[in-house]
Amino acid sequence: MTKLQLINLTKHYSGAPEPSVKDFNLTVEPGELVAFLGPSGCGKTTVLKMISGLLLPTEGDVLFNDESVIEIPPEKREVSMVFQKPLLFPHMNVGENIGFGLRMRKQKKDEIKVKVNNMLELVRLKGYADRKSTELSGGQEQRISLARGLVIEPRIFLLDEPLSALDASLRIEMRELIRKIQRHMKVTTICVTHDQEEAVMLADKIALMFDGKLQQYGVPEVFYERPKTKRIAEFFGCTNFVKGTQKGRTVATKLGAYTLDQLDDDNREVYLVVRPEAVEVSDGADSLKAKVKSRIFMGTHVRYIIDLFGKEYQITLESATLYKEGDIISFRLLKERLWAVPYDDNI
Amino acid sequence: MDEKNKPWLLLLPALLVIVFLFLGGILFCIVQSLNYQPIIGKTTIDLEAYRSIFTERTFLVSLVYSFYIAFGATFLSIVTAIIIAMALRKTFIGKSIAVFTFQFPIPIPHIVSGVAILMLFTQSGFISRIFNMMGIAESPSSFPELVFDPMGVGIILALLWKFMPFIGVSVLALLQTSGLVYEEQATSLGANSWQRFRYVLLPIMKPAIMSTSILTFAYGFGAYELPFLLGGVYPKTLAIVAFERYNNVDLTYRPESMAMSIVITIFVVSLILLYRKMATQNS
Amino acid sequence: MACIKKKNQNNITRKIILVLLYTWTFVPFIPILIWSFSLRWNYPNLIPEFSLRAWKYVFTQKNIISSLFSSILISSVVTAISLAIGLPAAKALGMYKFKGKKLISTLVTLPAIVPLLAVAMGIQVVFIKLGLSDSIYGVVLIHLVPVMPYMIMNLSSVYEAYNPEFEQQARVLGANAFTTFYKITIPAILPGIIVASMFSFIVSWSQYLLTLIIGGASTKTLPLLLFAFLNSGDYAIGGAICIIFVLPALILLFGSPKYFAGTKSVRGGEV
Repeated sequence: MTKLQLINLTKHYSGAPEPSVKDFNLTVEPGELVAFLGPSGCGKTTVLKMISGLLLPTEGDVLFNDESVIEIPPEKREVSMVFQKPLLFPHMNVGENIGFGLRMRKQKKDEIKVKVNNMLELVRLKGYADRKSTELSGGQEQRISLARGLVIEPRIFLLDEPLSALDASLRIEMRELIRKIQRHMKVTTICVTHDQEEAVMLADKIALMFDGKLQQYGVPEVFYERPKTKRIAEFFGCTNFVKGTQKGRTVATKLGAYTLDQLDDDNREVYLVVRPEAVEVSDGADSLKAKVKSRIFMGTHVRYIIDLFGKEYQITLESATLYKEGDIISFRLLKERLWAVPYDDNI
Repeated sequence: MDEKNKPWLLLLPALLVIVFLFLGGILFCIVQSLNYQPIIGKTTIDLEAYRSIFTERTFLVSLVYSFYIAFGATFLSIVTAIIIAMALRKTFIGKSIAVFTFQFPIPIPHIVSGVAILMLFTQSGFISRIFNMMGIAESPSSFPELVFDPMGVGIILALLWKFMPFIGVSVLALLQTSGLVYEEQATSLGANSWQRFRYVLLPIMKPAIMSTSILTFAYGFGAYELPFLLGGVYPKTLAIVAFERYNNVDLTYRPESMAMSIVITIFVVSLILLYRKMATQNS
Repeated sequence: MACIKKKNQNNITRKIILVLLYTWTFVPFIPILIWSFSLRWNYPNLIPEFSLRAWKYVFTQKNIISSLFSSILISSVVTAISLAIGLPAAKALGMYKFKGKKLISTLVTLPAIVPLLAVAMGIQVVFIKLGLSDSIYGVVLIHLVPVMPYMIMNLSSVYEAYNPEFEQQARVLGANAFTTFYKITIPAILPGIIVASMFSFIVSWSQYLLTLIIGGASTKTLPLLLFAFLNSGDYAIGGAICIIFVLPALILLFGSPKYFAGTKSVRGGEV
C-alpha cells in the first residue's frame, strides 16, 4: 500500500494565459480512495496525468511513500490508469487484454493465466477470457478495463471519469463494484469525477477543485456541513445564502441572529449557509413564515421554493407535510446545521 | 420511380462504362490472347500464346523482375512511411507544414518523380556532381549505377517517392486518432516505447498499411512509364515487354503481348481477392 | 531528469527525420527547375549556362502549345463526363442500401487498381473498327476507365457524409426536385465535387500509356511530348515541360488545403 503526496503541483502550458493546475498540495493515505471532484476543465485530469507520469509538472513534486517519482517515466511508475473509454486493445481478446501489463513485465504464461482468471472472477466476468474484446457491452468493457489495470497490482490506481459513459443504472452497480474491489485489493486509488453524488458514494475523502486549484479536501460530510466557500456549498446543492455579519460566534442576518458553536471566533462579513434540509416545521416564537411559490415532489421529500422577505429560498421537508402553492409555511432554522462562509462579491 | 430500382438506374451510365470499356477491353484482350484471329480466317482458340511465354526466359525473368520492383518499392515505402508517421504523430511546432510536405507527392504525376530521379541519380546527374565537388567521385563512372541498371534502383526510388506518402498519410491519420489514446493506456499499464510500438501501434496500423500497400504493389507490378524512363536494357518489366511485343511489326507476336497483359491483370485481381479474403477473415 | 532527457532525444530524432523529409520531398524539383533555365549543363558543373531558350521554345512552339491544349481539352472533357456519370453513381452507392452493393462497389473501383494495359490493348481492335482509334474521341473514352473510379470513390464519401434530411425538408416546404437539387444539394456537396474533379483531372492529365496506345500519331498530349524530349536527351525543354506538367497538381495542393487529403483527421493533431 502506497502513500501518495502531491507537493505544490503546477502545470502551466506555454502560451496559455493561466496555469491549468496551480499549487496543488495533497496527501493520500495508503489504501484510501480519494475522489477528485470538480466541474469540467478544472484540471482534475491534468493532476491525474501528472501522478501517472503521462504529463510532466511545470513545478512541484509527486511522492510515493515519501520518495519522489518525478524522474521515473510513466511506464515504470507502476501507476495504472483507467480512462473514460475502456480502450480495450481491439486485436486482443479479453484474456490477452487483461494480461497485457503482466506480459510487458515478462511474467510467466501460466502465472498470468491464473491472475487473469482471478481478476475475471473479481469483476464478475468469469469465463470471459477467450471472448473477443469487440463483442462486449459498455459495462463489460469497463469492467475488463478495471481488471486490466488492477491485475498488475499497481502502487497507485487512477480512474479518469470511468463511469460517465455508462447508463445511470449501470453506473450505480459499477460504483459498488469499484468500491468493493478497491477495498479488497487495498490499493491507493484516485477517481476523477464531475458527479458529486458519485464522489460522495465512492470516496473516503473528496478533493474538490475549481480552476486548477484545490478548494477543499476532506470526508464527504464536510462538504455538506462545513463548506469553505459559497461556491463549494453551491456545488453541493445549497442555494440558500443570507447575507450577514459575524461577531464572535454570532451571525446576525435579517432572518435573525444565530449563535453557532460550530464556528470559530471571528469578525467578518459572511453568508449564512442554510442547507435546504436544515429546517423544521415549527410554530414557535423564533419561527419564520414564508409563502410557497412552487413545489417539486421528489418521492420521499418535497422541495419547496419559498418567498421570505422578498427573496427566494429552497427548503426540503418530508412528503408527509404537503403544502400547496400559496400556503404559508411556518418553520425554524436548525441552529446545529447552520454554517457561515466568507462574504465575497465575486462568487 | 420504383425505389428499389432507383439506385440501379443511377448506376447505369457508370456500369455501361465499366462493362463495355473495362470488362470489354479485358475480354477482347483475352480473346486475342487465345489466338483468335478471324482476319486470317482462324476461328479457333488455343493456349499457344500462353505456352509460349511461360516457356520463354525473357518473360519469366520479367515476371520476377516486376514482382521484385513492386515488392521492393512497397516494402521500403511501408518502412519509411511508418518511421515518418511515428515521428509526426504528436503535436509540435511546424507540424502542419510537415504534414503538408508529407502528403505533397500524392497528386504529383508519377512521371515527374521519374524525371527528377533521372536528373538526380544518373551517373552524370546532380547528386553525382555534388559527390564530384566533394571529392568522393572523380568521374561519372565512379558514381554507382542507380539508373538504367539491372537492379532497378532508380525505378524503386521514383516509386518510393510516390508510394511512401500514400501509405504514410493513412497510417498517420490512424496514429493521431486511436493511436494516441491506446498509447497512453499501454504506457499506464507498463509498456515501454518499443513494446507500445510492437504490441499496440503496429497492430492498429496494420489495416491501413495492408489496404494501401496492395494498391501500391498493384501499380508497381504493372508499371510502364517509370520503368521505361528509368530502366535498363535488361531486365525489363512485364508491361514494357508486353508493349514492345504489341508494337512489333510482326503481328504473330500480338497474341503473346495480349497474353502477357492478361497475366498482369490476373495477378493483380488475384492479389485483390486474396487481400479481401484475409481482411474479412480478420474482422 | 530521465524523462526530460528522453524527450529531448525524441525531439532530435524528429528534427532529423523532418530535415530528411523536407529534402526528400522538395529537392527533386531543383534539378528540374535548373534544367529548364539552362542552355547546356554538363558534368561536373553544379550551375548551368543560363538561358531562356527552353522557356521561349515552350511558349512559342506550335507542337508544345497544341499538346498543352490537347491535354487541357481531353482532361476537362473526361472530368466533365466522369462527373456527369459519377454523381448519380456515387449517390447510389453513398445513400442507398441494395442487394449486390458490395459487388458493384468493388467493380466500380477495380479499374483504378488494375493495370489497364490489357484494357487498352484489348479494346484497340474495337476502336479501330469504330474509327475511334487514333482520334481524340478514343482517347477521351479510354481515359474514362481510370478516371471514373476516382471520381466515384471521392464523391461517395461526400454523399455518405451528406444528410438527406435537408432535401426532404426542402421538398416538404414546397420546392420541386430541380430547385432542391440546385439550391440545397449542390451547395452542400460542392466542395467535395471540386476536389473530386481536380483529382480526376490530374488522373487524366497524367495518363501516358493509354493515350499512347489509343491516341496513335494524332493525339499528342503533354506527357507524350515530355517523354519524347527526355528520350532525345533535351533535358532543358523536358524540364520546362515538366514544370508546366506539374502545375495542376500544385494548384490542387496549394489551392485547397482545407479539402486536400480528404481526412481532416490528418491535420487533427494540431489541437
